[in-house]
Amino acid sequence: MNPLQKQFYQLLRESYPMMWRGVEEARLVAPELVDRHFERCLGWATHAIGPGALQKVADGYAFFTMEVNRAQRAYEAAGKYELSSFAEANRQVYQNSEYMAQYYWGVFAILFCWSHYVELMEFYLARFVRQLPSGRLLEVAPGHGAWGIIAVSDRPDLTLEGWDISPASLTIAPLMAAGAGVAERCQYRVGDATHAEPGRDGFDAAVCSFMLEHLEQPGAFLAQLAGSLNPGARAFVTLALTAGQRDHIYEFKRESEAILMAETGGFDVLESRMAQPLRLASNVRYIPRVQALILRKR
Amino acid sequence: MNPDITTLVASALDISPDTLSPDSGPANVPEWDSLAHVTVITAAEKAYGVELTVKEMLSVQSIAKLRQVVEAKRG
Repeated sequence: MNPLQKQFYQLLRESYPMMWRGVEEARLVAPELVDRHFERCLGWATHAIGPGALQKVADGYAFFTMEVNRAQRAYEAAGKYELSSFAEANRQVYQNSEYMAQYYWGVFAILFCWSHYVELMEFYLARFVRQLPSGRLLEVAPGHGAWGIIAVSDRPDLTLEGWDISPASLTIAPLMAAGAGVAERCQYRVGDATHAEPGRDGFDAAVCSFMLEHLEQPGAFLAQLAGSLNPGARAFVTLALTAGQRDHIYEFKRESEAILMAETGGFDVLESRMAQPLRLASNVRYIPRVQALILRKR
Repeated sequence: MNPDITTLVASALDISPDTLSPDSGPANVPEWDSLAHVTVITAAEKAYGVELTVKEMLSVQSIAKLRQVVEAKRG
């Protein structure tokens, strides 16, 4: 383990001891991967926001995890997600800058602190990033930017264009890219990726992490995504199923739903991977799961 | 009549209250992870008729602190 990571873990143990055991278990899923990539990403975060980065990431992680745990209980009790429209989620979440400040770092930290996300990251690196041909990578809703920046960092033959509706993304992702030393190959734009104009040439690959469950019509989005890609191009798409979170509005219940949407939208589904948390509440109707799809545009 | 907080926490964690003290918390009770923390807080909210913010939830690192936060919310 490396110094930044050790420091982060120490902060978490001291400030948020209820979080520690789960984070320790997540590292054991793939210790080499977590150690290697978490340290890089923490370094990028430090570059992006300065010396207080580790505490900010720890605070964001604890906040987000507690929010999600509470939202899952509410979902279990209600039998449905609290919000059902993007307008509601935008008003309550995305336009709340204080909430978003912690949200961003929370969704960043879970990449290496939640066991099932570590499994997806293994899958992403081994089965998608390493298999990509050279070219232009589209990242939809990059947020903190880590998924795309990890790909571009590992593949010097890729360029990245990231689209996000949140202007706040422009303050974080470019700084993270600069911290990774890949800023010259990464461009970020504010806008709706479902109406993005890829230019004369389509993109050669795409990554879209945990956006589908935030959309009212994820199937329509997948079709638009296919339209942005060159024939044969691959996309890595992740989504959450039966997972309570304040801004989840589309309730995916079955693994087959997103697969069918992707196929209808113009993709072949090459690989699908599911993962669940190591720690689960007992006697529940809904088990929060994540799904990763590797798609190929027909 | 409101339940004793130690008994409430023990019940939420499904452990014997004899194993708990005011200093007991997530750092020294193995069963008290992030999921259990929400269970403890939710039980306290229901029993005492209060609602904690996420910040207040995260500040609870012992039974003594939980008691303090709940009493402050009740006024």
